[in-house]
Amino acid sequence: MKSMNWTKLAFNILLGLLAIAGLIFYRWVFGYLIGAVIFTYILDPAVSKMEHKRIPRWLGVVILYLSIIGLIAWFTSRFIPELIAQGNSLLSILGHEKTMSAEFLMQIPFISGIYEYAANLDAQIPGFELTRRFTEVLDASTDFLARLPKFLLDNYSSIIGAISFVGMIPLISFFLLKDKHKIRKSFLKLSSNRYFELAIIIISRIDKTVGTYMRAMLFEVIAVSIMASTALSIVGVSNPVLIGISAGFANIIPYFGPFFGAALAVFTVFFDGGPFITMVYAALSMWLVQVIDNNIVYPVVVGTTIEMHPLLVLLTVLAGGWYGGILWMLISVPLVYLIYSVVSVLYINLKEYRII
Amino acid sequence: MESFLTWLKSWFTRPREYMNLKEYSIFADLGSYDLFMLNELIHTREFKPGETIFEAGYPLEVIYLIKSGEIELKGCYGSKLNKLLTKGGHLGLLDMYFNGQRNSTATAKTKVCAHAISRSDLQEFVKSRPHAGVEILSAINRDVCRMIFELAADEEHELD
Repeated sequence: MKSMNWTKLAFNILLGLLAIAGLIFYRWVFGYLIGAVIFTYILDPAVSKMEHKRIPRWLGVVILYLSIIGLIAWFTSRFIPELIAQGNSLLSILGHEKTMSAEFLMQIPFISGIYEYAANLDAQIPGFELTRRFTEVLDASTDFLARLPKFLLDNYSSIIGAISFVGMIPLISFFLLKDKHKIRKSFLKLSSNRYFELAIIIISRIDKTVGTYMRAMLFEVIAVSIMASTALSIVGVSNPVLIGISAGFANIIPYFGPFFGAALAVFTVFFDGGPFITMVYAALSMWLVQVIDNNIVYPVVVGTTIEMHPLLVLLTVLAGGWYGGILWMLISVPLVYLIYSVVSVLYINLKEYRII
Repeated sequence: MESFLTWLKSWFTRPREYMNLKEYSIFADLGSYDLFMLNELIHTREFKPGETIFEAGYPLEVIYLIKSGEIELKGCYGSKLNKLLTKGGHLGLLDMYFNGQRNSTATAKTKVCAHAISRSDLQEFVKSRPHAGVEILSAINRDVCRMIFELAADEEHELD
Protein backbone atom coordinates (compact mmCIF):
# COMPACT_ATOMS: atom_id res chain seq x y z
CA MET A 1 0.00 0.00 0.00
CA LYS A 2 1.23 3.43 -0.91
CA SER A 3 2.10 5.48 2.19
CA MET A 4 0.36 8.81 2.71
CA ASN A 5 2.49 11.85 1.82
CA TRP A 6 1.65 14.06 4.83
CA THR A 7 3.76 17.01 3.68
CA LYS A 8 1.94 17.05 0.33
CA LEU A 9 -1.44 16.78 2.06
CA ALA A 10 -0.58 19.63 4.47
CA PHE A 11 0.59 21.78 1.55
CA ASN A 12 -2.62 21.07 -0.41
CA ILE A 13 -4.76 21.97 2.64
CA LEU A 14 -2.79 25.21 3.04
CA LEU A 15 -3.25 25.94 -0.65
CA GLY A 16 -7.00 25.27 -0.36
CA LEU A 17 -7.29 27.58 2.66
CA LEU A 18 -5.38 30.30 0.82
CA ALA A 19 -7.68 29.91 -2.19
CA ILE A 20 -10.79 30.27 0.05
CA ALA A 21 -9.27 33.31 1.80
CA GLY A 22 -8.46 34.79 -1.62
CA LEU A 23 -12.02 34.22 -2.84
CA ILE A 24 -13.44 35.95 0.26
CA PHE A 25 -10.98 38.85 0.03
CA TYR A 26 -11.48 39.45 -3.69
CA ARG A 27 -15.24 38.70 -3.84
CA TRP A 28 -16.09 42.41 -4.30
CA VAL A 29 -14.10 42.65 -7.51
CA PHE A 30 -15.57 39.60 -9.27
CA GLY A 31 -18.23 41.74 -10.92
CA TYR A 32 -15.56 44.11 -12.28
CA LEU A 33 -13.50 41.17 -13.45
CA ILE A 34 -16.38 39.56 -15.34
CA GLY A 35 -17.18 42.90 -16.99
CA ALA A 36 -13.52 43.38 -17.91
CA VAL A 37 -13.31 39.86 -19.35
CA ILE A 38 -16.35 40.53 -21.56
CA PHE A 39 -14.83 43.85 -22.69
CA THR A 40 -11.53 42.07 -23.37
CA TYR A 41 -13.23 39.41 -25.49
CA ILE A 42 -14.87 42.11 -27.61
CA LEU A 43 -11.64 44.07 -28.19
CA ASP A 44 -9.13 41.22 -28.43
CA PRO A 45 -9.43 40.49 -32.18
CA ALA A 46 -8.56 44.11 -33.01
CA VAL A 47 -5.54 44.10 -30.66
CA SER A 48 -4.37 40.72 -32.03
CA LYS A 49 -4.73 41.99 -35.59
CA MET A 50 -2.53 44.98 -34.75
CA GLU A 51 -0.04 42.65 -33.06
CA HIS A 52 0.25 40.70 -36.30
CA LYS A 53 1.08 44.02 -37.99
CA ARG A 54 4.02 44.35 -35.57
CA ILE A 55 2.29 46.82 -33.24
CA PRO A 56 3.03 45.81 -29.61
CA ARG A 57 -0.08 44.77 -27.66
CA TRP A 58 0.16 47.67 -25.17
CA LEU A 59 0.28 50.17 -28.02
CA GLY A 60 -2.57 48.38 -29.79
CA VAL A 61 -4.73 48.70 -26.66
CA VAL A 62 -3.87 52.41 -26.33
CA ILE A 63 -4.74 53.05 -30.01
CA LEU A 64 -8.02 51.16 -29.60
CA TYR A 65 -8.95 53.00 -26.39
CA LEU A 66 -8.25 56.37 -28.02
CA SER A 67 -10.42 55.38 -31.00
CA ILE A 68 -13.25 54.30 -28.67
CA ILE A 69 -12.98 57.53 -26.65
CA GLY A 70 -13.17 59.49 -29.92
CA LEU A 71 -16.21 57.51 -31.02
CA ILE A 72 -17.95 58.01 -27.66
CA ALA A 73 -17.17 61.74 -27.75
CA TRP A 74 -18.65 62.01 -31.25
CA PHE A 75 -21.71 59.95 -30.28
CA THR A 76 -22.22 61.98 -27.09
CA SER A 77 -22.06 65.33 -28.84
CA ARG A 78 -24.21 64.13 -31.72
CA PHE A 79 -26.88 61.97 -30.07
CA ILE A 80 -26.99 62.33 -26.25
CA PRO A 81 -28.93 65.65 -26.09
CA GLU A 82 -31.44 64.18 -28.54
CA LEU A 83 -31.63 60.92 -26.56
CA ILE A 84 -32.21 62.75 -23.25
CA ALA A 85 -35.00 64.75 -24.87
CA GLN A 86 -36.53 61.55 -26.29
CA GLY A 87 -36.18 59.81 -22.89
CA ASN A 88 -38.00 62.62 -21.10
CA SER A 89 -40.67 62.67 -23.77
CA LEU A 90 -41.14 58.87 -23.59
CA LEU A 91 -41.34 58.93 -19.77
CA SER A 92 -43.86 61.76 -19.85
CA ILE A 93 -45.96 59.81 -22.38
CA LEU A 94 -45.82 56.54 -20.43
CA GLY A 95 -45.29 57.75 -16.91
CA HIS A 96 -47.24 60.85 -15.89
CA GLU A 97 -49.94 60.15 -13.25
CA LYS A 98 -52.41 62.44 -15.04
CA THR A 99 -51.90 60.83 -18.40
CA MET A 100 -52.55 57.44 -16.88
CA SER A 101 -56.11 58.20 -15.87
CA ALA A 102 -59.03 56.60 -17.72
CA GLU A 103 -60.26 60.12 -18.61
CA PHE A 104 -57.00 60.85 -20.41
CA LEU A 105 -57.23 57.58 -22.31
CA MET A 106 -60.75 58.52 -23.41
CA GLN A 107 -59.21 61.48 -25.27
CA ILE A 108 -57.22 59.09 -27.46
CA PRO A 109 -59.08 58.87 -30.80
CA PHE A 110 -58.80 55.08 -31.06
CA ILE A 111 -60.14 54.56 -27.49
CA SER A 112 -62.87 57.18 -27.80
CA GLY A 113 -64.01 55.46 -31.04
CA ILE A 114 -64.39 52.15 -29.20
CA TYR A 115 -66.14 53.93 -26.29
CA GLU A 116 -68.65 55.58 -28.64
CA TYR A 117 -69.31 52.23 -30.32
CA ALA A 118 -69.92 50.63 -26.86
CA ALA A 119 -72.22 53.50 -25.86
CA ASN A 120 -74.26 52.96 -29.08
CA LEU A 121 -74.58 49.26 -28.23
CA ASP A 122 -75.66 50.15 -24.67
CA ALA A 123 -78.35 52.45 -26.05
CA GLN A 124 -79.67 49.71 -28.32
CA ILE A 125 -79.43 46.82 -25.81
CA PRO A 126 -80.77 47.80 -22.36
CA GLY A 127 -78.84 46.41 -19.37
CA PHE A 128 -75.80 45.46 -21.49
CA GLU A 129 -73.54 47.95 -19.57
CA LEU A 130 -70.67 47.62 -22.01
CA THR A 131 -69.40 51.16 -21.33
CA ARG A 132 -69.14 50.44 -17.56
CA ARG A 133 -67.19 47.23 -18.23
CA PHE A 134 -64.99 49.07 -20.74
CA THR A 135 -64.22 51.81 -18.17
CA GLU A 136 -63.36 49.13 -15.58
CA VAL A 137 -60.90 47.47 -18.00
CA LEU A 138 -59.36 50.88 -18.74
CA ASP A 139 -58.98 51.60 -15.00
CA ALA A 140 -57.29 48.23 -14.40
CA SER A 141 -54.93 48.82 -17.37
CA THR A 142 -54.02 52.35 -16.27
CA ASP A 143 -53.32 51.03 -12.77
CA PHE A 144 -50.83 48.55 -14.17
CA LEU A 145 -49.27 51.06 -16.58
CA ALA A 146 -48.97 53.69 -13.83
CA ARG A 147 -46.76 51.29 -11.88
CA LEU A 148 -44.58 50.54 -14.94
CA PRO A 149 -42.55 53.81 -15.03
CA LYS A 150 -41.81 53.49 -11.29
CA PHE A 151 -40.44 50.03 -11.97
CA LEU A 152 -38.33 51.45 -14.79
CA LEU A 153 -37.15 54.39 -12.67
CA ASP A 154 -36.24 52.07 -9.78
CA ASN A 155 -34.07 50.09 -12.15
CA TYR A 156 -32.55 53.23 -13.65
CA SER A 157 -30.77 53.80 -10.32
CA SER A 158 -29.10 50.41 -10.68
CA ILE A 159 -28.27 51.30 -14.28
CA ILE A 160 -26.57 54.48 -13.05
CA GLY A 161 -24.67 52.31 -10.55
CA ALA A 162 -23.63 50.13 -13.47
CA ILE A 163 -22.27 53.20 -15.28
CA SER A 164 -19.80 53.89 -12.45
CA PHE A 165 -18.91 50.21 -12.51
CA VAL A 166 -18.23 50.55 -16.23
CA GLY A 167 -15.56 53.21 -15.55
CA MET A 168 -13.34 50.66 -13.81
CA ILE A 169 -13.64 48.01 -16.50
CA PRO A 170 -11.35 49.52 -19.20
CA LEU A 171 -8.55 49.80 -16.65
CA ILE A 172 -8.69 46.10 -15.74
CA SER A 173 -9.26 45.22 -19.37
CA PHE A 174 -6.06 47.07 -20.38
CA PHE A 175 -3.94 44.58 -18.42
CA LEU A 176 -5.99 41.58 -19.57
CA LEU A 177 -5.52 42.62 -23.20
CA LYS A 178 -1.84 43.52 -22.88
CA ASP A 179 -0.83 40.36 -21.01
CA LYS A 180 -3.29 37.95 -22.63
CA HIS A 181 -0.63 35.37 -23.57
CA LYS A 182 1.14 35.57 -20.19
CA ILE A 183 -2.14 35.14 -18.26
CA ARG A 184 -3.14 32.17 -20.43
CA LYS A 185 0.27 30.55 -19.97
CA SER A 186 0.16 31.08 -16.19
CA PHE A 187 -3.28 29.45 -15.97
CA LEU A 188 -2.20 26.45 -18.00
CA LYS A 189 0.99 26.10 -15.97
CA LEU A 190 -1.20 25.27 -12.96
CA SER A 191 -2.62 22.16 -14.64
CA SER A 192 -0.93 18.79 -14.24
CA ASN A 193 0.37 16.94 -17.31
CA ARG A 194 -2.64 14.60 -17.17
CA TYR A 195 -5.12 17.46 -17.51
CA PHE A 196 -3.02 19.80 -19.66
CA GLU A 197 -4.58 18.94 -23.03
CA LEU A 198 -8.05 18.94 -21.51
CA ALA A 199 -7.39 22.38 -19.97
CA ILE A 200 -6.27 23.70 -23.36
CA ILE A 201 -9.41 22.31 -25.04
CA ILE A 202 -11.66 23.90 -22.42
CA ILE A 203 -9.90 27.28 -22.59
CA SER A 204 -9.97 27.23 -26.41
CA ARG A 205 -13.68 26.39 -26.40
CA ILE A 206 -14.49 29.10 -23.85
CA ASP A 207 -12.40 31.55 -25.90
CA LYS A 208 -14.23 30.65 -29.06
CA THR A 209 -17.77 30.40 -27.67
CA VAL A 210 -17.67 33.41 -25.34
CA GLY A 211 -15.61 35.59 -27.69
CA THR A 212 -17.72 34.89 -30.75
CA TYR A 213 -20.97 35.21 -28.80
CA MET A 214 -20.04 38.51 -27.13
CA ARG A 215 -18.87 40.13 -30.35
CA ALA A 216 -21.90 38.81 -32.24
CA MET A 217 -24.24 40.09 -29.54
CA LEU A 218 -22.68 43.57 -29.64
CA PHE A 219 -22.91 43.67 -33.42
CA GLU A 220 -26.52 42.52 -33.32
CA VAL A 221 -27.49 45.13 -30.70
CA ILE A 222 -25.97 47.86 -32.89
CA ALA A 223 -27.54 46.48 -36.11
CA VAL A 224 -31.05 46.10 -34.62
CA SER A 225 -30.83 49.54 -32.93
CA ILE A 226 -29.94 51.23 -36.22
CA MET A 227 -32.53 49.30 -38.26
CA ALA A 228 -35.33 49.82 -35.70
CA SER A 229 -34.54 53.56 -35.28
CA THR A 230 -34.56 54.05 -39.05
CA ALA A 231 -37.76 52.03 -39.59
CA LEU A 232 -39.63 53.78 -36.76
CA SER A 233 -38.60 57.24 -37.89
CA ILE A 234 -39.79 56.38 -41.44
CA VAL A 235 -43.28 55.33 -40.21
CA GLY A 236 -43.48 58.44 -38.01
CA VAL A 237 -43.24 57.05 -34.46
CA SER A 238 -42.05 59.64 -31.93
CA ASN A 239 -38.73 59.03 -30.06
CA PRO A 240 -37.49 56.52 -32.67
CA VAL A 241 -33.82 56.49 -31.58
CA LEU A 242 -34.57 55.69 -27.94
CA ILE A 243 -37.11 53.00 -28.83
CA GLY A 244 -34.70 51.59 -31.44
CA ILE A 245 -31.85 51.37 -28.91
CA SER A 246 -34.16 49.78 -26.30
CA ALA A 247 -35.31 47.25 -28.93
CA GLY A 248 -31.66 46.53 -29.80
CA PHE A 249 -30.78 45.72 -26.19
CA ALA A 250 -34.00 43.75 -25.59
CA ASN A 251 -33.11 41.67 -28.64
CA ILE A 252 -30.42 39.95 -26.54
CA ILE A 253 -33.24 37.87 -25.00
CA PRO A 254 -34.21 35.30 -27.63
CA TYR A 255 -37.89 34.80 -28.55
CA PHE A 256 -39.28 37.38 -26.07
CA GLY A 257 -36.92 40.35 -26.48
CA PRO A 258 -38.21 41.31 -29.95
CA PHE A 259 -41.78 41.55 -28.57
CA PHE A 260 -40.63 44.10 -26.02
CA GLY A 261 -39.26 46.40 -28.76
CA ALA A 262 -42.43 46.09 -30.83
CA ALA A 263 -44.68 46.60 -27.78
CA LEU A 264 -42.75 49.72 -26.75
CA ALA A 265 -43.16 51.20 -30.24
CA VAL A 266 -46.89 50.38 -30.43
CA PHE A 267 -47.62 51.68 -26.88
CA THR A 268 -45.75 54.91 -27.61
CA VAL A 269 -47.97 55.56 -30.63
CA PHE A 270 -51.03 54.54 -28.59
CA PHE A 271 -50.37 56.88 -25.66
CA ASP A 272 -49.20 59.62 -27.98
CA GLY A 273 -52.68 59.62 -29.45
CA GLY A 274 -51.48 58.49 -32.87
CA PRO A 275 -53.86 56.89 -35.39
CA PHE A 276 -54.45 53.14 -35.37
CA ILE A 277 -52.74 52.72 -38.74
CA THR A 278 -49.46 54.11 -37.32
CA MET A 279 -49.61 51.41 -34.61
CA VAL A 280 -49.95 48.82 -37.36
CA TYR A 281 -47.05 50.39 -39.28
CA ALA A 282 -44.91 50.45 -36.12
CA ALA A 283 -45.63 46.76 -35.45
CA LEU A 284 -44.97 45.86 -39.10
CA SER A 285 -41.71 47.79 -39.22
CA MET A 286 -40.47 46.07 -36.04
CA TRP A 287 -41.50 42.72 -37.55
CA LEU A 288 -39.54 43.59 -40.72
CA VAL A 289 -36.48 44.41 -38.59
CA GLN A 290 -36.81 40.99 -36.94
CA VAL A 291 -37.10 39.26 -40.32
CA ILE A 292 -33.88 40.94 -41.51
CA ASP A 293 -32.16 40.21 -38.20
CA ASN A 294 -33.20 36.53 -38.05
CA ASN A 295 -32.49 35.75 -41.69
CA ILE A 296 -29.47 37.90 -42.52
CA VAL A 297 -27.72 39.46 -39.51
CA TYR A 298 -27.90 36.61 -36.97
CA PRO A 299 -26.98 33.70 -39.31
CA VAL A 300 -24.07 35.66 -40.80
CA VAL A 301 -22.71 37.03 -37.53
CA VAL A 302 -23.35 34.20 -35.07
CA GLY A 303 -23.70 31.28 -37.47
CA THR A 304 -26.00 29.23 -35.28
CA THR A 305 -28.85 30.25 -33.04
CA ILE A 306 -29.08 29.51 -29.35
CA GLU A 307 -30.63 26.07 -29.26
CA MET A 308 -32.76 26.44 -26.13
CA HIS A 309 -36.41 25.56 -25.75
CA PRO A 310 -38.65 28.67 -25.57
CA LEU A 311 -40.02 27.49 -22.20
CA LEU A 312 -36.48 27.24 -20.79
CA VAL A 313 -35.74 30.72 -22.18
CA LEU A 314 -38.89 32.10 -20.49
CA LEU A 315 -38.04 30.47 -17.15
CA THR A 316 -34.41 31.67 -17.38
CA VAL A 317 -35.49 35.24 -18.12
CA LEU A 318 -37.97 35.18 -15.20
CA ALA A 319 -35.37 33.72 -12.83
CA GLY A 320 -32.84 36.33 -14.02
CA GLY A 321 -35.38 39.10 -13.39
CA TRP A 322 -36.09 37.87 -9.86
CA TYR A 323 -32.40 37.48 -9.14
CA GLY A 324 -31.04 40.80 -10.36
CA GLY A 325 -33.53 42.94 -12.28
CA ILE A 326 -33.31 44.10 -15.90
CA LEU A 327 -29.54 43.56 -16.23
CA TRP A 328 -29.83 39.90 -15.23
CA MET A 329 -32.86 39.44 -17.48
CA LEU A 330 -30.60 40.44 -20.37
CA ILE A 331 -27.57 38.34 -19.44
CA SER A 332 -29.23 35.24 -17.95
CA VAL A 333 -30.01 33.47 -21.26
CA PRO A 334 -26.51 33.87 -22.82
CA LEU A 335 -24.95 32.98 -19.46
CA VAL A 336 -26.96 29.76 -19.11
CA TYR A 337 -26.20 28.90 -22.74
CA LEU A 338 -22.46 29.46 -22.26
CA ILE A 339 -22.36 27.40 -19.06
CA TYR A 340 -24.24 24.62 -20.83
CA SER A 341 -21.76 24.68 -23.78
CA VAL A 342 -18.72 24.53 -21.50
CA VAL A 343 -20.15 21.74 -19.32
CA SER A 344 -21.04 19.66 -22.39
CA VAL A 345 -17.51 20.10 -23.83
CA LEU A 346 -16.06 19.17 -20.44
CA TYR A 347 -18.23 16.05 -20.21
CA ILE A 348 -17.39 14.84 -23.76
CA ASN A 349 -13.65 15.36 -23.28
CA LEU A 350 -13.52 13.83 -19.78
CA LYS A 351 -15.08 10.73 -21.37
CA GLU A 352 -12.67 10.76 -24.34
CA TYR A 353 -9.62 11.14 -22.08
CA ARG A 354 -11.02 8.25 -19.97
CA ILE A 355 -10.99 10.42 -16.84
CA ILE A 356 -14.63 9.63 -15.99
CA MET B 1 37.44 40.24 -21.94
CA GLU B 2 34.95 38.70 -24.38
CA SER B 3 32.86 37.19 -21.57
CA PHE B 4 32.89 40.59 -19.82
CA LEU B 5 31.60 42.23 -22.99
CA THR B 6 28.88 39.55 -23.36
CA TRP B 7 27.86 40.14 -19.76
CA LEU B 8 27.79 43.90 -20.33
CA LYS B 9 25.79 43.44 -23.53
CA SER B 10 23.24 41.33 -21.66
CA TRP B 11 22.44 44.40 -19.55
CA PHE B 12 21.22 46.29 -22.60
CA THR B 13 19.64 43.54 -24.68
CA ARG B 14 16.69 41.44 -23.67
CA PRO B 15 17.17 37.67 -23.92
CA ARG B 16 15.52 36.50 -27.13
CA GLU B 17 14.37 33.09 -25.99
CA TYR B 18 12.07 32.78 -28.93
CA MET B 19 15.07 32.40 -31.27
CA ASN B 20 15.65 28.97 -29.68
CA LEU B 21 12.54 27.76 -31.52
CA LYS B 22 14.69 27.69 -34.67
CA GLU B 23 16.17 24.47 -33.28
CA TYR B 24 12.99 22.68 -34.33
CA SER B 25 13.03 21.64 -37.98
CA ILE B 26 9.43 22.81 -38.59
CA PHE B 27 10.21 26.35 -37.38
CA ALA B 28 13.76 26.58 -38.77
CA ASP B 29 12.85 28.84 -41.69
CA LEU B 30 10.68 31.32 -39.79
CA GLY B 31 11.64 34.96 -39.33
CA SER B 32 12.30 36.50 -35.93
CA TYR B 33 8.89 38.19 -35.59
CA ASP B 34 7.10 34.96 -36.56
CA LEU B 35 9.11 33.16 -33.89
CA PHE B 36 8.29 35.89 -31.35
CA MET B 37 4.56 35.51 -32.11
CA LEU B 38 4.81 31.73 -31.98
CA ASN B 39 6.64 31.84 -28.66
CA GLU B 40 3.63 33.61 -27.13
CA LEU B 41 1.56 30.50 -27.89
CA ILE B 42 4.06 27.92 -26.67
CA HIS B 43 3.94 26.25 -23.22
CA THR B 44 6.76 24.40 -21.49
CA ARG B 45 5.99 21.00 -19.94
CA GLU B 46 8.20 18.60 -18.02
CA PHE B 47 7.70 14.83 -17.76
CA LYS B 48 9.27 12.35 -15.36
CA PRO B 49 10.90 9.15 -16.66
CA GLY B 50 8.17 6.53 -17.26
CA GLU B 51 5.36 9.10 -17.32
CA THR B 52 2.74 8.58 -20.04
CA ILE B 53 2.40 11.69 -22.16
CA PHE B 54 -0.65 10.45 -24.08
CA GLU B 55 -2.29 7.21 -25.10
CA ALA B 56 -3.50 5.93 -28.48
CA GLY B 57 -7.14 6.89 -29.03
CA TYR B 58 -6.99 10.15 -27.05
CA PRO B 59 -8.26 13.30 -28.78
CA LEU B 60 -5.42 15.34 -30.25
CA GLU B 61 -5.14 18.96 -29.20
CA VAL B 62 -1.47 19.52 -28.38
CA ILE B 63 1.63 19.13 -30.52
CA TYR B 64 4.78 18.46 -28.49
CA LEU B 65 8.29 19.49 -29.54
CA ILE B 66 11.08 17.81 -27.60
CA LYS B 67 13.47 20.31 -26.04
CA SER B 68 15.46 17.69 -24.12
CA GLY B 69 15.17 14.02 -23.17
CA GLU B 70 13.84 10.93 -24.93
CA ILE B 71 10.28 9.83 -25.68
CA GLU B 72 9.22 6.36 -26.79
CA LEU B 73 6.34 6.12 -29.26
CA LYS B 74 4.52 2.78 -29.26
CA GLY B 75 2.45 1.82 -32.31
CA CYS B 76 4.01 4.51 -34.43
CA TYR B 77 2.35 5.47 -37.79
CA GLY B 78 -0.48 2.95 -37.23
CA SER B 79 1.93 -0.05 -37.20
CA LYS B 80 3.46 -2.10 -34.41
CA LEU B 81 6.64 -0.07 -34.84
CA ASN B 82 8.22 1.62 -31.83
CA LYS B 83 10.21 4.77 -32.30
CA LEU B 84 12.49 6.75 -30.04
CA LEU B 85 12.24 10.50 -30.39
CA THR B 86 14.95 12.81 -29.12
CA LYS B 87 15.73 16.54 -29.02
CA GLY B 88 14.16 18.42 -31.92
CA GLY B 89 11.54 15.71 -32.62
CA HIS B 90 7.84 16.42 -32.69
CA LEU B 91 4.73 14.46 -31.67
CA GLY B 92 1.21 14.89 -32.97
CA LEU B 93 1.82 16.85 -36.15
CA LEU B 94 1.28 13.91 -38.51
CA ASP B 95 -1.70 12.60 -36.50
CA MET B 96 -3.23 16.05 -36.77
CA TYR B 97 -3.22 15.79 -40.57
CA PHE B 98 -4.22 12.08 -40.48
CA ASN B 99 -7.37 11.66 -38.35
CA GLY B 100 -7.16 14.20 -35.55
CA GLN B 101 -6.61 11.70 -32.77
CA ARG B 102 -3.59 10.06 -31.14
CA ASN B 103 -2.54 6.96 -33.07
CA SER B 104 0.30 5.95 -30.73
CA THR B 105 1.16 5.95 -27.05
CA ALA B 106 4.00 8.23 -25.92
CA THR B 107 6.03 7.59 -22.75
CA ALA B 108 8.97 9.58 -21.41
CA LYS B 109 12.08 7.35 -21.33
CA THR B 110 14.17 9.91 -19.50
CA LYS B 111 13.35 13.24 -17.90
CA VAL B 112 11.76 15.22 -20.71
CA CYS B 113 11.31 18.91 -21.25
CA ALA B 114 8.96 19.67 -24.14
CA HIS B 115 7.42 22.68 -25.80
CA ALA B 116 3.69 22.34 -26.37
CA ILE B 117 1.47 24.21 -28.77
CA SER B 118 -2.26 23.87 -29.13
CA ARG B 119 -3.50 22.68 -32.51
CA SER B 120 -6.10 25.46 -32.68
CA ASP B 121 -3.46 28.08 -31.76
CA LEU B 122 -1.14 26.79 -34.48
CA GLN B 123 -3.95 26.81 -37.04
CA GLU B 124 -4.91 30.35 -35.99
CA PHE B 125 -1.25 31.41 -36.28
CA VAL B 126 -0.98 29.92 -39.78
CA LYS B 127 -4.23 31.59 -40.80
CA SER B 128 -3.10 35.02 -39.65
CA ARG B 129 0.48 34.66 -40.95
CA PRO B 130 0.15 32.72 -44.23
CA HIS B 131 3.79 33.21 -45.28
CA ALA B 132 4.87 31.53 -42.02
CA GLY B 133 2.29 28.80 -42.72
CA VAL B 134 3.96 28.08 -46.09
CA GLU B 135 7.38 27.78 -44.39
CA ILE B 136 5.97 25.42 -41.73
CA LEU B 137 4.20 23.31 -44.38
CA SER B 138 7.42 23.01 -46.43
CA ALA B 139 9.29 21.93 -43.32
CA ILE B 140 6.62 19.33 -42.50
CA ASN B 141 6.89 18.01 -46.09
CA ARG B 142 10.65 17.68 -45.66
CA ASP B 143 10.11 15.74 -42.43
CA VAL B 144 7.51 13.45 -44.03
CA CYS B 145 9.84 12.73 -46.97
CA ARG B 146 12.69 11.95 -44.61
CA MET B 147 10.38 9.66 -42.61
CA ILE B 148 9.30 7.78 -45.77
CA PHE B 149 12.91 7.25 -46.81
CA GLU B 150 13.78 6.06 -43.30
CA LEU B 151 10.87 3.60 -43.30
CA ALA B 152 11.84 2.32 -46.76
CA ALA B 153 15.43 1.86 -45.61
CA ASP B 154 14.24 -0.04 -42.52
CA GLU B 155 12.08 -2.31 -44.69
CA GLU B 156 14.98 -2.95 -47.08
CA HIS B 157 17.20 -3.73 -44.13
CA GLU B 158 14.64 -6.27 -42.82
CA LEU B 159 14.36 -7.94 -46.28
CA ASP B 160 18.13 -8.31 -46.48
